[in-house]
Amino acid sequence: MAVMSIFANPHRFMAVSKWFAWGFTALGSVVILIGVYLGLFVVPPDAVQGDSARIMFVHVPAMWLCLFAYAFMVGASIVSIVWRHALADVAAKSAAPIGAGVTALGLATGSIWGYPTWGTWWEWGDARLVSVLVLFFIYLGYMAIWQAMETPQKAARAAAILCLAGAVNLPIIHFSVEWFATLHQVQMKASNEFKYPMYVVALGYLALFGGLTLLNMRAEIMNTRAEMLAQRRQVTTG
Amino acid sequence: MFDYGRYTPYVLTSYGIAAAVIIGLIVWSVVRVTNAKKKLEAIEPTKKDAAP
Repeated sequence: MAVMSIFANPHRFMAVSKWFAWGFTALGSVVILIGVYLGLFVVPPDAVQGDSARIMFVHVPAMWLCLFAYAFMVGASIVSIVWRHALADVAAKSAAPIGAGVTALGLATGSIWGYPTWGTWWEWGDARLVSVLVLFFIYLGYMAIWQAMETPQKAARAAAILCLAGAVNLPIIHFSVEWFATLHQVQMKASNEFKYPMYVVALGYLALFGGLTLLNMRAEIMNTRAEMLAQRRQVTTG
Repeated sequence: MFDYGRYTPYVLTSYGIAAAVIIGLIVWSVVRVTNAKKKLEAIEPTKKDAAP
């Protein structure tokens, strides 16, 4: 609660977030490059899937991050609805395009990995694939609501409610491979030499998500302030 | 250097898409924050805390 009240003031947030935004973005980029190097050049081919398992290092962390980004938005939406925190809506709105991009990345790399493994690019009967596609559409719907409503206040409330309703999909995605006997395999028991590069890329994705969300929050606050000042100027000159 | 046997096109396409999405998100965010800063500075030119 103390941290929340510190950042309730957008001016204080702008002062504190600047270096974190650029720092996390740079750190995330470097860590991802290290993880990709390990995944492409250091790790040996998998005993069962051969070199196709290297897709895991960009696919699996993307799937973790698309769930984490949505959980972050759910947390921010709860804070927005319960405490009406000034920055909670901005945080959720800023995270949505990043989450949507990462979900699209997870879907695309999963499809590419699926073809040599399962013999098909897509399977409509697979619960994991379809539930992740639904998550992607929820991200798009969330972003569309912000554009469609008359006022930012109405948009924030409607978007927060949609976000909370969409949270039902998170456990469905997570447990889909256990609840339904479908194409997507259950969680792989990867060896340590496969786990470490995956964790490195996941850390990089996480840092990048933090950095880009902060950058977009800063852009959102500056745009809002610029529009407010422009309206104030119109009123005083008009 | 990038020889993964019959899986080469799948592996390289996946990493290429990952690079495109990540670079796209970074460029989009940086352009957005830079434009917002310019927009604010045009209205409020002396405010120093508006820097991204």
